[in-house]
Amino acid sequence: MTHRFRCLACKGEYFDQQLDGAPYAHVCPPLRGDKKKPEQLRDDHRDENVKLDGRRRTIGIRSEGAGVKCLSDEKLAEPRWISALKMRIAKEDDDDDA
Amino acid sequence: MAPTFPSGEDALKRSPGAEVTLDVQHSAPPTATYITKDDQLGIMIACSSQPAFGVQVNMRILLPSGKIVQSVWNVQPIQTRTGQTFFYPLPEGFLLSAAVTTPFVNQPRSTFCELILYRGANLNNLQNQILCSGYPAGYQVLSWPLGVNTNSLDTVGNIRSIVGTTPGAGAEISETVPVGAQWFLLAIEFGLTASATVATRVPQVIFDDGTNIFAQVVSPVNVTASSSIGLAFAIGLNTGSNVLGVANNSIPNNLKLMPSWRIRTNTGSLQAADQYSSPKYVVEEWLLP
Repeated sequence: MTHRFRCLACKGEYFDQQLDGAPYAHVCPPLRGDKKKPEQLRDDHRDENVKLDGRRRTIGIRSEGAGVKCLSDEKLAEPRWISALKMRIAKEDDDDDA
Repeated sequence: MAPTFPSGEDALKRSPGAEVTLDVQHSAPPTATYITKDDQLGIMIACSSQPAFGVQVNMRILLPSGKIVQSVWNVQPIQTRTGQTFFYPLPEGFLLSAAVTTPFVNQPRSTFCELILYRGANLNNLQNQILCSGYPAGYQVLSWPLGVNTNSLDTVGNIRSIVGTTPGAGAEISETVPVGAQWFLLAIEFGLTASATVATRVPQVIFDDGTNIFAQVVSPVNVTASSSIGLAFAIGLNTGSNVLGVANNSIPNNLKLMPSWRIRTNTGSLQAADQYSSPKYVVEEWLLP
């Protein structure tokens, strides 16, 4: 089931999963530039693409930014695929420590 | 319909069971792939869906005793698009055949798989042979020794329809190619509703690598205050003015987009209360495991 989220940084709204089952990774658009200054990323820029280490293992998402709010289920703090990712990373870290 | 036999003999009736005994002593190997106890099977799998679709790997191995055994592994990756390799020990013997199937109905070409023979322990393994590689899906089974191997890029990709982010008021559309994917944009459509602030908005679609813009396509029409328009860009589309509230333009053909590259709008004189709709776009996607 897909859920609709609002990014608290750029106020963009999106579904966390596409109809084909692929997760959707939201990335805040850059701030518009003008003649005085170029385009730049927001300070609280959110990027949900996965971050990989040197061995191509997923270690998190690139930037949490200002967070998100779920518009369709208030119990969800973030897209479920991201929560599952973090749980798996924590488990792998525990296994490595053990 | 019952089979007919021109010779008048039904071969199955004359040979109901195994009547051939294999001579495994001093015999020529049936295949060139002999597996020792130091060898392992590596199953590399990458999937764009979440939860990921798994694969089933079937192998037939001729043991030194002359017995043929069937092994089956069910593997499901836990990462999205990024390739994961699972290692399994193998018995000593001759590898006769291998096949990779997806037992679940999935989006064609959303799962890429490679079967690899490794030698050595996991951390120091050496890849010795790629048995088969490609996108298994439904009845499209990967197989060895008879099968066609493809890498993840040199084949038809997965056609995906995506609904992107509805930007906030006064913000541009920006869609980023995800990690582990290569895209080919086929078409994109979105709408712009202009506020009452007097200004001439000039929308354009731009493609960049995260830093440098390398292609721009301008809308054939501008948008004035308190008006709205649908904008459709696709390969091979003729430039069209505002007909029934929609304007068209063509986008570059064969423009492959790498991870973290972007498809976005850049609108001249965009006002704070102007609102873009969510972009709807179709891409051909290949996995980069």
